[in-house]
Amino acid sequence: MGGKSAAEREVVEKLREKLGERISVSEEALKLYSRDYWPLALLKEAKGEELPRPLAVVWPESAEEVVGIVRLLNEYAVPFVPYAGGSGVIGGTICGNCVVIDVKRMNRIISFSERDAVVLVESGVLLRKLEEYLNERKYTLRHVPQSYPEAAIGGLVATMSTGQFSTKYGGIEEMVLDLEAVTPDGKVIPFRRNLVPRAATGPDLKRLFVGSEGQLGIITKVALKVYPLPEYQWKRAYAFPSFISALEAMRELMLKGIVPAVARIYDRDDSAARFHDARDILLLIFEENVDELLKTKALVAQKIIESHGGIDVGEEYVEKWLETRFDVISEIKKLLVPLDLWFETIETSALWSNLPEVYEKFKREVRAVPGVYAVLAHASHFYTTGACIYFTLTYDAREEVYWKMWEKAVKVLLENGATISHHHGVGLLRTKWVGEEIGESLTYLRKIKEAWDPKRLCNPGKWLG
Amino acid sequence: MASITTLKAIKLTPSLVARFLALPLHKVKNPCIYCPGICLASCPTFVTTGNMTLSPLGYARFPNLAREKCLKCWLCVNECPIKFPLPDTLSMDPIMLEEVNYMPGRIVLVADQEIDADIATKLSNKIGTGLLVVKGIQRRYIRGGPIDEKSMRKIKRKLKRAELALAVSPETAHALNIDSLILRLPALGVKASYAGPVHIPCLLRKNKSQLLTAIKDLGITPTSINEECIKISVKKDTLYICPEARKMGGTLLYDLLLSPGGVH
Repeated sequence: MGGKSAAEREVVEKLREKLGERISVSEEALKLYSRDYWPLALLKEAKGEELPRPLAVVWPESAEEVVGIVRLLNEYAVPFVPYAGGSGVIGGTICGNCVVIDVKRMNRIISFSERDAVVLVESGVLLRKLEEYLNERKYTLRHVPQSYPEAAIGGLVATMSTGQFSTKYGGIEEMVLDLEAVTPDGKVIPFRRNLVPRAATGPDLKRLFVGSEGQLGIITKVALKVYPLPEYQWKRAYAFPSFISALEAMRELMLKGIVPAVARIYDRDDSAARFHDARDILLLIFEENVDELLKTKALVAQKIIESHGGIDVGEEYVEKWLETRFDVISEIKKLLVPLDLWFETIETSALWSNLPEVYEKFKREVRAVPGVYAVLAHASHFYTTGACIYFTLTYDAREEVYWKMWEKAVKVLLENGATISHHHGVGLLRTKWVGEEIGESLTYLRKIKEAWDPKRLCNPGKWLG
Repeated sequence: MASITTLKAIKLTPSLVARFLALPLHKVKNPCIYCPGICLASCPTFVTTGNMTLSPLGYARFPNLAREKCLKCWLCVNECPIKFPLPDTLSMDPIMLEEVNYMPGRIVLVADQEIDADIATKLSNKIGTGLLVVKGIQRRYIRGGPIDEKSMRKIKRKLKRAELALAVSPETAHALNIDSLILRLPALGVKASYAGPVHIPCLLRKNKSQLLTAIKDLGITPTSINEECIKISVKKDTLYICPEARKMGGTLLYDLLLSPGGVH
């Protein structure tokens, strides 16, 4: 407790009175909660550098407890940050001298209606646990980000996450029917009185929480759409003459409504690293609950793909991807750390007309940054209007190289009509660039933050101020 | 090591080539500190508390905490893509296995002196098998740390004398990498009669489906499956395979078998 102000010491004592053992100020907890999975923070930790330490970590068990905690922190003007799975990659939860409100003990599945295909959960439920619960009942959320084993629902909503099956099922924003949140001054914004598929009752205030990154309050409950587990799947991989020709094939599929659940185009560098096959490879998974529908889609897809030069290379690469898709650690252990290299992922999206230039310039210009050794790319989320390209970068494990790489990446993206983030969010990482992309919208978002959180206690120091 | 095809994706510089050449000299000792936590949802202390400190990510960083709080259930190792044996890294002092008692037989039941020697002795009498009681296994699942390889080899050599070695406790099955007795009981002609909740031990989770088949073949009807680690809680109405559960008031499957008329 050394170095803490009287107010901070007092607030910790009051929190302890409220929560008993569900508060920690231990060296271990403060250290572990001083970062998420932002590669730069992880690099600093690995090199023994200090990261901003929180004041304490608390584990409420209900929205009512969150209200009590937030009101107390308001009384003492002590800032706080919501924390769910801790799997974010943008430093969104790094908050020096804040009280970390970890929602993972709020992990009840409140109700599941098979009839309505809706599940109501507390925000701390782990995505994997929810999916297992639904699968036992022959249902699925079908939200499968790479952080699937670690992420919790509240964090996924706050980050505006997407997943590997998004091409068919959409990102988390399309799955959220409604939510409950605690505001920065300690009031509850409850669920609507009537949970409905859609309502034209004015702008949906709750949408502000999707992608809010913990700056507008604490999400405590979420109502989500779910789907029957697909009974039939069709998997296939195709090698293409180029990354661009594979994109063209996907454009035609999307515009003709032949929508796969999973589509991933690995460029030849990414394929070389992942499959030891240096070709541009498209992985496809179609899934339906009607076999005839699946067969028809697969047949049409094959014809379209062949017309763009795609060659059937079987199911093996799809199976390999399915087996290894959550494994982050193998390459880090085998190669990156022993070679004194580090990793980063930069995800973007652009309209079809901009994608070729975004891809080619990013690869060329970012790879040319001194200290950057590999820029792998795959396109992995598709829309009728365009797609997301996900770049995986390998570089010297030095902060200086990290920021030079990012400066170049953002320049290329913004100059070529692409976004600086498709689904990882802004956090500390992209704070300095977000205004360049969204312009005057940021001014008005900051005004909302100011009205909502005048004391600036809720995850302060991020891009909303 | 990277393949030649993989190297095509990399901008090779003299500095990087030199690092590749020195790669065999640089091993990562503690990969957990770089991992987002693929194993998290399997960790009983993490799932119960929501506290990252009480998860493999915390245990890998803070071994003192791990020695005290980690349950050494090995569920995280099952989930880990590289099967990093975190509980074995918690002590540098290897655990010596010692033979305590040996009675030869075509089939030999293997037990740990502290965990289940009493049960194993009674079972071996009742079923008519040999018996090997070993000392040291329990320590691995309480304190953590690796088993001394030489002492392990000695025990393994002894087991080779039998046609079949079967572990009574999940700890023994896991430590010696031998089959659990439960899996073979139906083939030995053993029958039981029970219906109710059944617990699946953490250390046998990899064999869950085989275990359930064997349990059903024994004549047991699981009305529900309980997978909560016994070190978190033991429920009165549940049937356990872990002998350690009995110390916490749980009903043991082996007690059913050892009750009068329990083995047919």
